[in-house]
Amino acid sequence: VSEEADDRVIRIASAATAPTEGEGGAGVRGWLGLLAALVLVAAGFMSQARFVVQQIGLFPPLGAASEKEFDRLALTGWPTISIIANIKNVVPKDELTLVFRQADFAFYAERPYIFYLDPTIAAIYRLGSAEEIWAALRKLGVRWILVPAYGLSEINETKFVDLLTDPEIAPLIVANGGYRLFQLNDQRTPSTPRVIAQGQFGAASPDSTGWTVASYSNNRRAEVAIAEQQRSDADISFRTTWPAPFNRNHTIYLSQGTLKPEAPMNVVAESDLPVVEGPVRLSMDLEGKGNIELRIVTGRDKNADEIRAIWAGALLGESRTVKGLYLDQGFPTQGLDAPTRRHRIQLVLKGPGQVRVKSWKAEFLQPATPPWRGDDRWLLSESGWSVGGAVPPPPKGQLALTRLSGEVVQLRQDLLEDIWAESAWVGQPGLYQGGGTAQQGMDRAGQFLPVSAWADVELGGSGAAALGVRAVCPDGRRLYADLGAVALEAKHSRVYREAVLDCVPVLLRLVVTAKRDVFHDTARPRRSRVEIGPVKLGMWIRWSDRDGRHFTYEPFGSIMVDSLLSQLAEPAPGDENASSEPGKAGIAGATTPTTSSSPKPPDR
Amino acid sequence: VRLAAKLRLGEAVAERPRGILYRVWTRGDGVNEEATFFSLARDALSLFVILLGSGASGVAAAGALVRDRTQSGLILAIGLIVGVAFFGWVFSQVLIYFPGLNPGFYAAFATVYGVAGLAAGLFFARGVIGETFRTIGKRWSDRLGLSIISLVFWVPVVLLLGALAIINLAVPLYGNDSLEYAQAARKVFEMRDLGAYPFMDRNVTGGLITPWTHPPGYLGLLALGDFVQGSANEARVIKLVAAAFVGLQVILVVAIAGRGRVLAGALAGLLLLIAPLYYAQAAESSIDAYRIATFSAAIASFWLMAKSPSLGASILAGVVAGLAAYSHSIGMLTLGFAIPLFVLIARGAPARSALAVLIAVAVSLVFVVPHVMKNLSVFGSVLQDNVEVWTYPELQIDERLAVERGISTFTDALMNGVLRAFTQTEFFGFQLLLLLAGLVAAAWGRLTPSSIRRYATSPDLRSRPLSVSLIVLAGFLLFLILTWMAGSELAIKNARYMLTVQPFIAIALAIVLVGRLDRDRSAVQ
Repeated sequence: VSEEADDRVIRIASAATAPTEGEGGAGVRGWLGLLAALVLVAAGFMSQARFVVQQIGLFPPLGAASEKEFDRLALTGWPTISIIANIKNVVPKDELTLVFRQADFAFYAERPYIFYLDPTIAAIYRLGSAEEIWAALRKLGVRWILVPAYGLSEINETKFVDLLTDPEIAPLIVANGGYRLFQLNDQRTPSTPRVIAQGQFGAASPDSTGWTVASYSNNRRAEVAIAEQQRSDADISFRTTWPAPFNRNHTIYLSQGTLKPEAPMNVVAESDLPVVEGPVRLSMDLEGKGNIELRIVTGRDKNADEIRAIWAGALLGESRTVKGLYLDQGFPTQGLDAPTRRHRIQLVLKGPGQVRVKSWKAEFLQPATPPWRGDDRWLLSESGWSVGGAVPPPPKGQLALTRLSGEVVQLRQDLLEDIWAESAWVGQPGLYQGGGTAQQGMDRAGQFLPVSAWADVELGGSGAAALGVRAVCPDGRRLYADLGAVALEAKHSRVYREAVLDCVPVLLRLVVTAKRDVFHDTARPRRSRVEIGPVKLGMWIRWSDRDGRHFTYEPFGSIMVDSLLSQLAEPAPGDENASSEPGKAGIAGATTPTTSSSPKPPDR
Repeated sequence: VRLAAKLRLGEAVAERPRGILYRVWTRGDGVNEEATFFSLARDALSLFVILLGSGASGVAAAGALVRDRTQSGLILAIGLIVGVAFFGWVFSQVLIYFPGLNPGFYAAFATVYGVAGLAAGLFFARGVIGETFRTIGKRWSDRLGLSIISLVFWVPVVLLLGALAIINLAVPLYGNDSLEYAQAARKVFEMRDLGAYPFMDRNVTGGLITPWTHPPGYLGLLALGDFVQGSANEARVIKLVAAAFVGLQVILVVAIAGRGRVLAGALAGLLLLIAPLYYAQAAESSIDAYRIATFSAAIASFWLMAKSPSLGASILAGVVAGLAAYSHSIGMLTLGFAIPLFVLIARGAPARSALAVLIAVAVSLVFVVPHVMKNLSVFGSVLQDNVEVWTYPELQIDERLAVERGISTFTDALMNGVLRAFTQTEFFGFQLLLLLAGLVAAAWGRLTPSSIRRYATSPDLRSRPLSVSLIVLAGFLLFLILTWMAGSELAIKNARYMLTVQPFIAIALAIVLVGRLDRDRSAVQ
């Protein structure tokens, strides 16, 4: 059989544009077909090449031979993997985890588990309360629960959603993106719920100002109106208007403040959630249909906000309260430039659908005990430094913070998570040394605000570090002032930084954060290791002469932190009088700051 | 149970790879070696030789079954896939029926099978291989100009295949399904027993539950990789199985689209590799390359059976269809596509054709019946995953999953489900849209009653590569529509299922684009 017949079938398929008929045009159409093929494969090949380069850029082939596969994966910081890395750090090898996502845990975590689709536990999804599930899981020996970022009806439509928003029995330990690890307590540990923010939507409510509705297509701000929003007296609603499939990659955000890129997170918005330290339960009353996600977006650094899904799932048109927990570290894991940490609520509608939002509430559930077991929230090292991080330290074994010599401590990142070391608190006696009596210094500072805190630190190591000071004001407020980031070199060098404070603090401590290193290679962040040598902390005031034209900087006080460590007891943070037990401090001239003598914090 | 207890977690075995064919069949069991680039390359090469040997034996067997030397290219391509997939079946049977032996036994078995297969295969398949290369050489020298142009397609094909192998070696496993498969293979390796699959008892597996009805073909191949490297602590070379099947798939696509053509074969191979989801899935070492290769080899073997009918061809078609069914649940449906295709393209007496199909079906049952029985006893069903929680009506799991997958309404299910190969260009590229445009242009003004009549009355016309590809493609779309109309989201819920016919999209598009230029008037087939 000749190919002639086939040719009839495909005669002009190769050249849709060529209008010529008959054998004369055959050659031209053939070549046009080839041209079309070349264009198609060139574009396709380029896109595949980009994919290949990206994969090989993330995982250089030579490393495949000598490095462990999981270690290489962990460096990517992908949430599915980071949570496993954290689990390996936190969960003891013999403890049982209930996993709502099997793959990564099974292959990499090296710990026993129960898969949520295990037929033997199916009855658990029909239990009538969080307490019953808790008891049933504890009876099975389950100590931990791993929850993925995506919605699961097995959680949302059962009492699991109550269990996972009750930190008294199931505290949230770690979150990477929306991947969360909860721990099951042996007994209920009471907490005191306190509403830190709430709001009502709608035109009548002033709370609904400061919220933005924005729609994006394929991660680009949508130019066309394929979404519409409406504000009524009692709620705010939005929906996609174009038919599928045009809205498949379409996303509508309802966000506190504004959305990137219009305003980065380091710009304060009126509606930002207050920062606390501990678990916060966020709930939102809404109704709708579609694929939704409730998130907390936290300013991390200039380029990357930390996005944590706390509830995800599908709505079928019903009205319900969606709720989830997030863990506020209470501490600014400030980025390389962002000055402070803030949280914003985001409600996301992915793809087609409609949502009507009525109100929301954020409750701080002040824990009576640290959010993870025992007292290893802060691993105290011998030199008076303490360490903390978004990730709890390993239960036993190696320390993130080690002493290298009499003067130098080393802070090492095990993961690509920020980990910080804090010096002991330095009280006023130390801070005001050398600038007259403490009282004089306080008075002067009250007159001539602002006050600057400064730090003079010897740093070395590899990677990147960020410096900051943490302060407790006389009125109990706690401040964090960023002192910026440092690229580390093996050779130690002294770094001097200062920052303006909001009040004249009664307590001050230096914070050194080991950041993932993006200085040396932006494409492949590495873990950092910080060597911290001798530290000086102090304050400046700035005052002007009478005509207000000449400024003088006056040292307010300075102290060698290490020399204080043995003498100062660790005060409970936030306790105004903590630093001031005379005698115990053992420093001459120690005075107790009283409310009357303390200047009022400036009203900014 | 004793073995299971011994293998409990915590008793972590070796931290580092043990290497060279499990330290020459584990006389050196427990001896760890330094992980180096050399050791990784060596293990990869060991696995490659075993796969190549099983492929070569497949070519020899296919060549012996189908003696028509004019089809040698197709026989070669089918034989390679059959050989590797068949070895996967054999190896998993060994792990099912001879469990718990010394690990050295399994490593030795794989080595002997691979090496003997390579030697015997190359010897007995020399006719097929020689004929294939003679044909290619002649075609190239006849049409030197086009052959040189085809390098424009060949070079990227080679580059992309090489890059895929590098990615598979360099990138650790991170895909959800790949990880679950790798963990299941690890359990098979540790227990040296595939009979326990599907795993439904966490006390045996340390937690792993596999509530799938998929047959264990891929597990056998992954476990083979574990035995070759002597350790299941890391995935390392088992990820190469996916790349191997992509390579074999490209050969098959080239063999089909390149019949009597120079450009179209290379172009079809490249079009397959630039299909974004297909390549990305292979880079994730997912099962898809394997199941798609066996599916398309089954289609090709029924095509071969229609072209040169014989008892051997029927047996070969039955074996490939059985292996396709052994690869994945969706492979169980292979015969549902292959038999209608065969009916459309078969020549000769209906009785003979019916007999040929019967033989093929009977042979294929050998491969799947044991697993089907097992599914029935474990899950109570053949195909549908069965999880008790999902039957609780108050959870509304199906309804909510449909919303999450964007297929909850009629239009959404149509556009995002049934027609996703057209609409989801980020997964499938523009190939199907372009194919549609090309076909419309081709048919415009030429779809006369006489041409339709000619096509309707001539099996030869229908059995051309373009026609076969389009029939398979149309059949698959019809299957999606029918299951959807029957109220099931099983076939449209996942974009990966549409990938099943991606090779045929590539073949059809390649012929539509360059077939005209490429036509060889002198070729008689």
